[in-house]
Amino acid sequence: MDPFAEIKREVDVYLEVNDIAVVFGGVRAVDGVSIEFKGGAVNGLIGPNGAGKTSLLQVIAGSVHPAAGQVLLDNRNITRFGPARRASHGLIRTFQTAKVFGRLSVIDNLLVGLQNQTGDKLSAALFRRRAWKQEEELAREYAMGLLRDFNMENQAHVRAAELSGGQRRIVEYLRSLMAKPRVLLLDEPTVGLAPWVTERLLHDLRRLREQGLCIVIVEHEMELIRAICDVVNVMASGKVIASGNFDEVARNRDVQDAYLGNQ
Amino acid sequence: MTFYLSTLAVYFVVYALGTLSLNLQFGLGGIVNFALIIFEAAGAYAASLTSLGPSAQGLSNGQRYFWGISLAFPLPLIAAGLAGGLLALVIGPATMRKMRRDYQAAAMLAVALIVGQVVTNAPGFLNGGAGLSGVPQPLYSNLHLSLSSYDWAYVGWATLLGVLGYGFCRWISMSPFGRTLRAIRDDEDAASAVGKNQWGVRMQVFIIGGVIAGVTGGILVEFIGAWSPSAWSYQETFVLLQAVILGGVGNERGSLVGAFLVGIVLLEAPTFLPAIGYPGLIDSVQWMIIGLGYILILWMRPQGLLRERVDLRLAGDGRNIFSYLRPGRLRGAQSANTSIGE
Amino acid sequence: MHIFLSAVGFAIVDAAILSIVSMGFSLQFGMTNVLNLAFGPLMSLGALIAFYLNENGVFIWYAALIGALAVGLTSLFLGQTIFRTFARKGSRLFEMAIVSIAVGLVIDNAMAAITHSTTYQFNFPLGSNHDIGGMTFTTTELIIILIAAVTIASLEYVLHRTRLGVAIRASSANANLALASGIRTERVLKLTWIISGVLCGLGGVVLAISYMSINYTTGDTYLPYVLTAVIVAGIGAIGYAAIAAFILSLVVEVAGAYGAAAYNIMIAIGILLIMLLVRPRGFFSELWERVEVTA
Repeated sequence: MDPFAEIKREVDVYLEVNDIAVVFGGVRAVDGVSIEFKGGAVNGLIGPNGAGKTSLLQVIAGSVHPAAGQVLLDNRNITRFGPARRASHGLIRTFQTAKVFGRLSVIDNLLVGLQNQTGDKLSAALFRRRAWKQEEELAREYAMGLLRDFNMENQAHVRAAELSGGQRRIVEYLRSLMAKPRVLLLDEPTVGLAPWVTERLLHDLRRLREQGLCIVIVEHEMELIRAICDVVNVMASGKVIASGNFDEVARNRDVQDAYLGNQ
Repeated sequence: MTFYLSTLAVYFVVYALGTLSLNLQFGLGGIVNFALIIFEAAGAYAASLTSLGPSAQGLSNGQRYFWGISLAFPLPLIAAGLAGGLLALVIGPATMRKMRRDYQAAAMLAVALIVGQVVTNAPGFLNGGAGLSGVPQPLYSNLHLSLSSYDWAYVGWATLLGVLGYGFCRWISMSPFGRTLRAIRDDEDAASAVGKNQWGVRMQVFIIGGVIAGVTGGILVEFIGAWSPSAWSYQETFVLLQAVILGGVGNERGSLVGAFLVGIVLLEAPTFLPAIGYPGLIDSVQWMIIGLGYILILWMRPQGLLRERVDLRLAGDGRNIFSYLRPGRLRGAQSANTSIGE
Repeated sequence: MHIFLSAVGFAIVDAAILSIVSMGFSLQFGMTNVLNLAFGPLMSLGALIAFYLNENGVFIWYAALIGALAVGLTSLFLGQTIFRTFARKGSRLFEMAIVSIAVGLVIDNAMAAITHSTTYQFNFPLGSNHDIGGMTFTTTELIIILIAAVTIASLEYVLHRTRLGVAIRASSANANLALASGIRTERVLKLTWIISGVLCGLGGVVLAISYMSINYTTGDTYLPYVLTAVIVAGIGAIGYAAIAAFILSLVVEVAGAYGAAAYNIMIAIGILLIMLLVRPRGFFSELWERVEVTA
């Protein structure tokens, strides 16, 4: 069963932020940022520390309210949506420090990711057992397939709290896949990962891209950004200072200044 | 002697159901419901009001309460469950929003205190501090049994309800809904990130727990026939919390074990001992043991005696509610000392 | 008008007692981030010790001091053993609250066992009546108000004009940063436990004096008022806790003067609930963002 067959999209996803401002205790962490994130592409979001990347990501994900601006998904204004509601529209994120459900097993962690499960509703859990039992079986196979891709099928029944940092990141990523994302927001997804795991992840992202997902990735490692990003947006001091493919952006004077100035 | 045993048996069911409902709310749901006892109280009062009949105000025996009706068995018990659920519906939206967990605990405690004060002081509401008495035992006149046979029949009835309650809790726990609930408990933000509605899920569990607690109060009051604020002071919730933690957070069988150890062995059984020291000394010692017990358990083994199931699938695979009564087996690595969880 | 004025008079005395305890609670809450629900039982402890000493011939205000010091030491002991152990384990905030409840249970019931749950009458000379601004106070009440005023003034002075105060406020805001800046946070922590315990015990004694009776539950039933004042002020706002104490006492006394006194505690708890649900950070909070526990 091809784990990725489920995630195919027909129409390109469209994610846009307009004029976003985020203020934290008097500091403008994000100051009038507008970006179009292309579907069917990997959009990088980079910049020196304190540039406002994570704040912007949090605004897109819905965990932080912008002081101004809008977030649009497929031309629908989702600025007032909370994180759960955005997730139900396919906007799935990961966290800078990978968050897992510590007291659940690895496989259960993945299965929680599944949206619109019949068994998720209390009434259905009680009275429509056969329906959700079947769904469970299929979902379980699917999840085991995902774990196998990352050599984690032996950890399927381990409590997530016992995983290493890198393993947690994988679990978080796979959980995001289970949620059938249309937009995938990845916050430093490769930190603590072994090289072959990173390779595997990049391979995944390329396939997801082909299937029309809009992927936004916050990263620090230049090699990775060069390898995977189609578009790179550079932020510094709360503003976007450059946008384009990797080479264009690397040659940009402002970008070089921003990075050097911060060392 | 058999009177003692039958009383203990009923009390065990009552403690067990109370522990199971707190385990559902706190152990699985992460809701710090320090006010659980008032849901039992709501159920007990509802069962009383619907079997006592209208208030006989003005008579010498006059208990003054605001409403009463005489319904046949088992309607008062259903009213008890409804009362618990309704109270949860009222309290839930206010107290279950996202806030610092210790503040939420303090808020629940405050709710328990204030409800206690209101019931004790409001004239003509629920007969204040004196409480309600003379609550008829269900079907007593119809069954024509001797006192002790009736008691044992009641034990059977209570046990049946207890078994159903246990199975029901496990049924919920071992479903995708239960898994989602535990995920929200473990990490709200991550759960939201995959579309789980923390408030909705928790409210449902809060209400269900309230219903179970309400029924529990009904079972108790129909056995002992009286109910007053001294029976449901805010400390009672800590007994149930202790039972949940000792037995094993998130484990329904553990809740039974905890209810037995704390409710019966520690609290109820000693009341049948001859009086030692001055009246109330045993009481104080029991509460000291509970307090010390908390500290010890939370320090040495916060996950309790029986561990929470790691995997949804590994525990029983029944076709109906009764199959959930069979214990599940744990497999896979066991975790080291964890906290009792967020 | 007379009713109102006498209510104000009562409120001033109430506020005196409440501000002592609230500031103590707030000081410790701000430093450790632990909602210490054992504070109530500790109040009773201080009062009972002072009562016992007084019954055996010790001059009341010396007895009060000794009682307060005893609670200060007890508080230090609890903080350094029990609370520290759980903080080291990484216990979450509500787990610490549960632990504090457990500690309170043990102290409460130990006192119950020792005193046989007796309620003692504090037969204490009230002194003569004094009329000030239309309100009547007994000598004892004036002494209590004086004690409170001195306590508030000293605490404010220490917090804002001494290096210790700076150290306390810095450690409360960010313990790691304070440590890195050279502040001896360990010493500051110990002093915080002691000072807050002393305030707790002192408050318990004056409470018992004003009630003229004491049993082991006296502190427990008083705790909701303390929590309300502290939460209204906001975590870390120690001085404001005294102001909140006064406003709360005023509201309660005035409402009680025109209604029934039994509803006093309900008003306090009602305000507490509203605060927790509507504006948990309080009005003058300085440390709302902290999530970790320091002990």
